[in-house]
Amino acid sequence: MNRFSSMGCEVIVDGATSDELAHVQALFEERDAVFSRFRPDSELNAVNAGRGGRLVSPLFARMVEAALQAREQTDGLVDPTLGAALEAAGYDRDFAVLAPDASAGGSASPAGTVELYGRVLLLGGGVRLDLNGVVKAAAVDDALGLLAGPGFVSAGGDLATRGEVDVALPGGGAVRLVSGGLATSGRTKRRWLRGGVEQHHLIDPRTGRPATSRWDEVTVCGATCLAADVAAKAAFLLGDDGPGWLDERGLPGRFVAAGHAHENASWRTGVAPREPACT
Amino acid sequence: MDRSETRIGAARRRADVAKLVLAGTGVLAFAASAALARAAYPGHHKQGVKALSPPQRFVRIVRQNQLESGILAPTQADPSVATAQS
Repeated sequence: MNRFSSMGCEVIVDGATSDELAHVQALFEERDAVFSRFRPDSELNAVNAGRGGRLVSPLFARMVEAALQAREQTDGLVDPTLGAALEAAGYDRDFAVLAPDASAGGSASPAGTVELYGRVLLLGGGVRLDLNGVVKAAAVDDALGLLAGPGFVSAGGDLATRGEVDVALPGGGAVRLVSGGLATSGRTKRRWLRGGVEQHHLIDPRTGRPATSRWDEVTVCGATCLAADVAAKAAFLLGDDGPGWLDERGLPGRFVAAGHAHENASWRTGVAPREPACT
Repeated sequence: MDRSETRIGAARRRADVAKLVLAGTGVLAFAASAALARAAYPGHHKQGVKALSPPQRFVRIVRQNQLESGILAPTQADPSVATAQS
């Protein structure tokens, strides 16, 4: 098992040859260089600073397309246009150097418009993209695709596997991931104080402010890490409706609030002991 | 004007008319053949062309299905990795 740091988190790779590991590291480094909000030379910052139609790289266009699909699939809950709202909440520098700020937290306009025509990107007035909602999970899926054999890739707890792996869950307990991805979203890790009020990185596109949800952490199992991550964010933002929303899509979800775990019906079905087959 | 020149001129005029008739007949025959081929040959479509793109409802369903589930099972060993907030 190999570990390295990238995109502000620890990346764990299991089952990779040394060549494959080098390719995985290069992939994460490339994604960080292109999509970081905290690197002045990133393509994301160049796009956000631009005016009118922007010609973006093929990789950037692919991630915008994935983000727009996520927005469509979650009825607008997972939105790529909340960069300004995130900065208004105080998350305007790398989380490792984020310090409490006495000034009051502001709010930016809720979700804005973004259109993609091939590689030409059009942003509405004042819109600043934040593609973190899809980039890290997509990097995990793409990195797994670089492994020839069984193994897994995890970045900050977003996980994709080829082959079965046992995974520890937030709040205690564990589950076996047979195939696909597992991702957890919540508000207890990336949080900070601004004006004495706790802020976190999951912005509600309906208000432009950090979401108020009854859940602390939501874990979802998807066919890919990207599907799991998008669904986990949406389920967190939906609050009480989160478990049912996941069940409607057949997605297993586990919700933690105040130290207690609640599993939706799809999760309970998935981890129920199998009856032995009749012979 | 002598008589032989008159006959040659008349022959030239007849030849010109004949060429025009032949050319016109050729054009008409080509147009009629093309029209008949379009109407009768099975390789030619007879109605307006429809786009081959799938219906929007189908596209929506396929996209929605991208949020598909992975597969879970009860744990069978000590965890080798943890899922945590990103």
